[in-house]
Amino acid sequence: MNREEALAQAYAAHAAEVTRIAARVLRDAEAARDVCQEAFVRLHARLPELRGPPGPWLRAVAWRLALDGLRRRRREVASLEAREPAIPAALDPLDLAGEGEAGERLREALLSLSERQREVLLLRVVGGETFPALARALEISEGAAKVHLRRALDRLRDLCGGDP
Amino acid sequence: MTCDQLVDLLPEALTAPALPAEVEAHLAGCAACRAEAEAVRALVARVRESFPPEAEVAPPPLAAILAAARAESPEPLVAAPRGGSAWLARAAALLLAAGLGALLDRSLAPRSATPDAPSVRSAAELHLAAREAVAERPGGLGASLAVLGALSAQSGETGASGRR
Repeated sequence: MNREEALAQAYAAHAAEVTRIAARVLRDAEAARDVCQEAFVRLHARLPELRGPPGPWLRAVAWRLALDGLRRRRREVASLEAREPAIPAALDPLDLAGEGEAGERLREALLSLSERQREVLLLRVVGGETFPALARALEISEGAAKVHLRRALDRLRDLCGGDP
Repeated sequence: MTCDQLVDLLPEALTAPALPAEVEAHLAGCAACRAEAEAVRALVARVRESFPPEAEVAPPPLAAILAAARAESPEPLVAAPRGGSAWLARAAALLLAAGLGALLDRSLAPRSATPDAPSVRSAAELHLAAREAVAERPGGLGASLAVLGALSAQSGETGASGRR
């Protein structure tokens, strides 16, 4: 099977869920599709070296790209607000109605974790990945993945407190 | 299991599909650990709620992904064997330098050509494409072998085969 055939096969199996992951983070269909395309382009380049099934790797890349996009967008919004203070803060699509400050604090806290901690946390907690799959996708040991998860949750508790 | 051990296990246990029996057993008999488990559970739930499922977003079409993937990393003509010998790479480079682009006619056409891709290219264009392929391929040996393979295919009974 050549690379393009392998890519098409991975697309059939995973494109929908990769787009869904990106949409969960970015709340924007076009941006989610861009993330999906980039994830599969990277898979195509990576296929000769990839160990194991592409699914967990693709999901990890989707989270990473989507969160990078989120961080970029927030910087743009912050920069825009700094220049034009009259523009309301609710340009952020993640500012879901009713969520308010607590939700915002949690998202800020998530973005302040190390990349590794954030990836492990989201892949495990939101993505429901098993530790073996997650570890292989991120090219770390299962033990290291569990430490990252513990530290991520500890840090979130420090930053967000115990409010419900 | 001690309370310290239990607390260490909570992130993994509370993000698993089901609570391990030993964890359940300890929690049943330890109010302090139950309180800790509740705090972790609540935090995990908040993280999940930060990324609620989005309405279904259609992924980008496979054709767009393939086009982008091809543009980023063109597929070699033959599978590049891992490892390989340096002399083969040097021989390929020498052959290219000797201006054997004319011999590459047709052999360097993309394997799965899209309908609007030109099926016939001038020898100079093919030569340039081959040189670019060698220069840009990670670990250029793959494309070097591809060139030798193409030359072998073209000339038929030539002794110096690039394929194994």
